[in-house]
Amino acid sequence: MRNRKDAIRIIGFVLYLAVVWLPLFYVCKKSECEITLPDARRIGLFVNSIKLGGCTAILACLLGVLAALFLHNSFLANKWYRYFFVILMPVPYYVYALSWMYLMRLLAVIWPEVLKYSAQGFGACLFVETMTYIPIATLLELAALEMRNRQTEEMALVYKSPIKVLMKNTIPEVLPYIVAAAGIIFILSVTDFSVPSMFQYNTYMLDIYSVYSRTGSVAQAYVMALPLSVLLLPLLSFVQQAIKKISKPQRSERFVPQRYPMWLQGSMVCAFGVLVCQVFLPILIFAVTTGSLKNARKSFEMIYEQIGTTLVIALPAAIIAVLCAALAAGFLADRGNGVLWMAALGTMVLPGALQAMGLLDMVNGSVVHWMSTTVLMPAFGCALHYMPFALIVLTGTIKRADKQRRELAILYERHWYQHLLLELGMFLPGILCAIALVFFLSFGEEGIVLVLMPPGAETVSVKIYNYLHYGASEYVSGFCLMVTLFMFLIEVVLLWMMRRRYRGRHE
Amino acid sequence: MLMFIRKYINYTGGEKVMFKRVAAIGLSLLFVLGSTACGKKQEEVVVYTAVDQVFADEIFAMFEEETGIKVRAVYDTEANKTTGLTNRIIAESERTVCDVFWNNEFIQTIDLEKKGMLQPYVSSEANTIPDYYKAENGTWTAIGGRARVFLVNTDLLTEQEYPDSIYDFVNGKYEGKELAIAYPMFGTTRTMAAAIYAQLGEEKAREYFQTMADNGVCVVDGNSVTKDMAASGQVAIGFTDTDDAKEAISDGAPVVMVFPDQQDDGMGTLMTPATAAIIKDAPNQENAKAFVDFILSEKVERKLVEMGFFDICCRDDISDNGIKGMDLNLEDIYDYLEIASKDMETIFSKAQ
Repeated sequence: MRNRKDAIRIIGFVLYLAVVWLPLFYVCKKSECEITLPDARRIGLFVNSIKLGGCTAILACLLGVLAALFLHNSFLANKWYRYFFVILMPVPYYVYALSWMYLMRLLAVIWPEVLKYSAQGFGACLFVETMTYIPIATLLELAALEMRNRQTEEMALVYKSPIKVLMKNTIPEVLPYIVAAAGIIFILSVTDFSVPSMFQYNTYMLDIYSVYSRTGSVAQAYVMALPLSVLLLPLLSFVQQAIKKISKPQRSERFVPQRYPMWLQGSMVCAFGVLVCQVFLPILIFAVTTGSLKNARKSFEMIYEQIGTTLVIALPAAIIAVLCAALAAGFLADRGNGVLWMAALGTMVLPGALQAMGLLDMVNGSVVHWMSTTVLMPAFGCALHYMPFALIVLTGTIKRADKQRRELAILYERHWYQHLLLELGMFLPGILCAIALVFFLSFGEEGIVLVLMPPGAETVSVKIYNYLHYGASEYVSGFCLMVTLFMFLIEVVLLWMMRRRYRGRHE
Repeated sequence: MLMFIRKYINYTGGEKVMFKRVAAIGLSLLFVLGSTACGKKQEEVVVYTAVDQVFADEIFAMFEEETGIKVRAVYDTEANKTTGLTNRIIAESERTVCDVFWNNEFIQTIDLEKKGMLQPYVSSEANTIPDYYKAENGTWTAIGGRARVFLVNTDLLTEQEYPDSIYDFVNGKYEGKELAIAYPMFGTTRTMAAAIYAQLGEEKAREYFQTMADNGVCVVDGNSVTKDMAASGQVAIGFTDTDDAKEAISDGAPVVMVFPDQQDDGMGTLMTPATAAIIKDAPNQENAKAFVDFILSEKVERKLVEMGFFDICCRDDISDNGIKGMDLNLEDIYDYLEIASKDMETIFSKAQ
């Protein structure tokens, strides 16, 4: 029985690897690649990328933990709208970053001197990237806080102060999620060049794009991106070690909010303030630059079709990504070592647009070429790119699950799917978290959909970029407002459905 | 099949409900995806275009109204840094999807020609277009043109202080932080770099850009950002394309356009024509030809001038428009692209 399950897990892992690596192998086989040793210029850019990615990940996770603790310990703890902070996640990063530039220009109207403090360089870039990625950190960390075992915590509170319990029990328990969030943010930061370029901070990814633009070789771009994937190793081994320490039952009883020391309470309030600002200031800026209700209505008329198309892409992308990641997560949770993790996550460092180019090339030359003129292509492209992100979340979830319950289920199961249903129930928060993450990232994706979009169709992000280039800031802001409103509606509907489903129980 | 599966999931009520829901979601998804995959075939032409969507959409509507042929477009965006449409066309070369590539510049079109991706077609509408605007083998035809221009903030500079040559970016007349240019490794700024290489020669051009970098000129993410910075007063002068500059002017920003090197002995500014080409083995050959004929027609060219996308009409004598262009062949500029791009990487893509 166990052998059969192991075999299934190995097959699942191999399938996952085939899905994520095949397009890349295919396109690398066809394109030329010149391997050169990095010079001082490239090393400098590489250091810039690491510095920015590392600082962004640390700062976003720190603020994310504090904000999540506040949300979990305040009057918002059981409110349906406590996940309000994700509503701007589908707005393309570049546009989100621009909203902070607009803020400076709006301030300049009142206080012209502000233009002297030119927003450029590392500091400005770090600020905007941190604001951009805080929702990811807070989403994962709040989900982890809500999933953890509270019995041990309550027991510990009898003997120790809340701060000691927080440091010795709560934080270690949610640590895998904090590190997973840091890893995801680090990768997102080092693989994006648009926001750093906006603030004139040159990074390694700019060079990769520049070389790709000159040579058209995906293989060359990937060889250049390899050092970034090597950097993942220490991070992953840390995740492994952190997860191994924890295997406790998850419960969801109501919990009495803790009174932490003033300095911590103050930090939590500040972090929450930052979280609120990262949502409401850009919304305010979008509302001001939209100008009028007429513009907002016109924006809606212009964008609703694209919202539908994007939804039809992002939702299947999230489901496909999570299904494929689930194939590998079971195997990695049991036997993952550094090399296997590298194999599973190695494609993360490649920009999505280049990965998409490989997929297009592969599909175009195959028997399923008909797919390339359907919305299945961008959905697969997004799924392919964000699969490793889902894998990180799912593996953490499986590792944290109650092993005793899983073993009991195996012992008493009459059919394999009973065991599967039980596991699905146990892993549901992690699965939903992974689906939400891939959905939001796919919704705001631009590079992949631009390469894979069927003729005649368009997504929200492509439309936003096109109008942005045209300089129609009132419509761009209107589009962003509509996307935000749409995300808010999705959240409301989902939470309403969950309330109905879990009526009478704690959410 | 569903009944067969269902037979095995009948242990508890909860599981039944769950099965129903999972099946319903699965079927709905299949329906949505299936319905998007299938569709009634109609007369159509697939156009990949790097022309700004706001301009392209209006031209597509005109074409559809005139011919009844539906245009299915794929757009490019500035943010994709030229990794978009041309590479997509190359990736689709085994089974071509695109019929016509309507590009907002010429470098990438010539690149596709060199890679054998284009199909010769000499449109009857091209008879009135000068030979300088056409490929010798008939694979592409250029039309109209946008110019490179200085966008000057009038709140920060008086008329006497306006720049008049590209050399003003390197001769110490302005501080580097007063000037902005897009990354010259991408887009039309890369084309401009190649044109300067073709005009000045490799050594002088390399020295020109190196001095620009040493002076600390703000190198920003795209022409639209350059335009925004000049319009908002973050810099005094932005070096950009006329279509971006005109947007800032129409938005009421305190800016004016100044064409560089317009003196009698000046080298002129780079004129970037748009290009139209049929892709090799295009699936809708006749419709593709009809579209290319339409795009190359004088009325469309004049319409694009009227809309502010083009500055010049290639059928007129260029001097009639009052803008002096560089005296360079489009293919000559292409020949310098590789070396100029490599140099731009070395000069501008480095840690500060």
